[in-house]
Amino acid sequence: MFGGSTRKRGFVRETVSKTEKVIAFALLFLIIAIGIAIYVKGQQFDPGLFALDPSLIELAQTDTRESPRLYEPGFGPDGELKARPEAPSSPFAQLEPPGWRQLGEQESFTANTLYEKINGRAEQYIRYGVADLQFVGFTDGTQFIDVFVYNMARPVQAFGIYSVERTEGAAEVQLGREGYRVEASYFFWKGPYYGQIIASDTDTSVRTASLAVAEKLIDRLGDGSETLWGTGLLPEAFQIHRTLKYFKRDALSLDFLTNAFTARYLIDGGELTAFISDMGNPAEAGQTLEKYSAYIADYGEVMPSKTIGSTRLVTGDMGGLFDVVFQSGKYIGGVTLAENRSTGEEMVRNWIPMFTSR
Amino acid sequence: MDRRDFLKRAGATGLAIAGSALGASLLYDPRSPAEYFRQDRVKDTRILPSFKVDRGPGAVTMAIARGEKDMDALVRAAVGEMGGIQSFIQKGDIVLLKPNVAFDRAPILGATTHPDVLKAVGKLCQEAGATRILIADNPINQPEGCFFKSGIQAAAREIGAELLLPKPSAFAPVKIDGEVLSTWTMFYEPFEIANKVIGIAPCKDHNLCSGSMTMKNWYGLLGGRRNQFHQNIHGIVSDFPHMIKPTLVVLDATRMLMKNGPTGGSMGDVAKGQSLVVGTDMVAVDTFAYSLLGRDPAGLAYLHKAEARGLGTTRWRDQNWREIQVG
Repeated sequence: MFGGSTRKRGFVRETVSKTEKVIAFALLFLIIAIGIAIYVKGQQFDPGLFALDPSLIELAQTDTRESPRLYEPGFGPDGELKARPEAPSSPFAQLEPPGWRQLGEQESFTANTLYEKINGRAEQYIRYGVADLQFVGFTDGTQFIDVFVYNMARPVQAFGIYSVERTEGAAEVQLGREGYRVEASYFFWKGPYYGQIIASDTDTSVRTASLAVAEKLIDRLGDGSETLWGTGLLPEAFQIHRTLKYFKRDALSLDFLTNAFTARYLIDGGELTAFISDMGNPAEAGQTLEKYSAYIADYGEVMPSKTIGSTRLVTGDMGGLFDVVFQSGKYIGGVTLAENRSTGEEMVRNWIPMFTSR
Repeated sequence: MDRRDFLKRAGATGLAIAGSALGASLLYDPRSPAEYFRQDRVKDTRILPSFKVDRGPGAVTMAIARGEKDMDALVRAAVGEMGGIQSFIQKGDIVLLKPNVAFDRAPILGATTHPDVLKAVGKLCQEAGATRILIADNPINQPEGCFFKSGIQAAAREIGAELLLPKPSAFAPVKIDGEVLSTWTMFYEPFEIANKVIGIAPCKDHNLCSGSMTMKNWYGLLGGRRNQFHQNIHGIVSDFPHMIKPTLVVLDATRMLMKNGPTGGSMGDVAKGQSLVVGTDMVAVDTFAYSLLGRDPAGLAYLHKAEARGLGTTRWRDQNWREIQVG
């Protein structure tokens, strides 16, 4: 009955040695101690860590991109990142100049965690489509060199964030596609990468070390052949050197002007800014032109319309400075803050044939 | 097994099951996890006391020291114009200094409080008889690296101050009842020890709220996922003068990060400010400071939000203020 066996067990131990008892009690105490430790530790948690972060939910729903890996330099014909056979396992490996050593581990951040490194500045990089940030620091015992490499996924996005952060008038250096130096720190743009080699001091020895790091690093980063579409669509004549910028949105502080290149020009002693925006299709570009007209009407005065060939110009007097805007296919272009109307319109008149010839 | 044995075993098993069920029902908490954490937080909630000093009516509320002299001289001059450090710190006080050490940046980059300003304030407090000087912040980056690279750790050691690191056990929920912050976890331990609090902030550009000065400095005390407040940055910054009433605030505008804040990185973004401001009204100090950045305070939303809530004034010129040239 009850499935029990009628056979007796061959051996039943009735005595337990003292050693076994000691071990058993020690184990019991250990379990209790672990339980107490878990309880005590549990009382010291940071409840803020469990707070809901709505932005993460939003990102999880909208951001389906796969982060391109930093260590795959080189581009294919379609602009995709491709691995280079001779590429080192990490571009940061043995980057430190003689007499310097790495300080801490290399750190990696994605778009979702970027705020952990740069906090309130992260949003700007996210707007430009940052894929990841790699960081590593070096020290010679007294000074520091911090290396930030942002993988912006596309060259135009890397150039964009580089260009809006660029220090005007800084010393130009041959690093990547464009670079500059401020004191002992170096900044560069190469392909999808925006790099910052930030020194803690300004003396020559640190500067030499920073440059060595920058050059070694740049040599290891891929570039590719993808060019910036805006460079060929903005006039070269009278363009002020190194004023070209790319705005993913809010170009000229106008919320309707997206995906735009701008550059400053010096004409007859006066400065103006020209811009070109790729709106994706002619219909979208047409709507943007209407928004620009409305903006002029709100904050200035819309001038009588002129046409150049089949292109209509929208001209506005913005309180003594003039904006001249036009549409060509999917593009919106124009000049803003020209000191007189004729300068603005003359520039646009010479510019429009660039579009019709394309 | 015989019947008796079976009944004994079945009874014991039943008792064990019943005991477990009883125990589980006693331990069961019907609240949802969110409700549990909310109630648990409220149960253990602290309230920050005021650290202000009553100096009577007509006291100077803001002093600006300008000059290229060393930072120690600027601090002494500005505090002197406020009535001297003895007006704020008494013998036996334990003073908490709250610098902005959010990032592991070198002092020359203007993203953090300059260690020389911190040292000058600490030394003044010691001269007034403070027995302990505490230094605390909850940096964005790894704390040890931030305190080390910013020079704050060395400054603390030099003046014999105690550096408090933001270890998890040092945090506690604090009831704030602000526009954005109701109850939130903050780096509370230093406030349990100190009886005087001085905020020492750099003057810098900020990508989200345009300017980071003495009010924004207190953001560095928050724990948890504080980046979620970036969506309402002006609301939360305007909560800080409601959350904390410091003894003094010091604005370190000896050099200023004019662009690419709050982290900076390029010396090209740093300008000489040659100013140091001490005050008791954070809104007034920040209104003045924002103009040092070359911007119009009329456009800085958090100042006006705070002023509308009676937490300070943007009309600092109407207050009792002083300006002194040093050297």
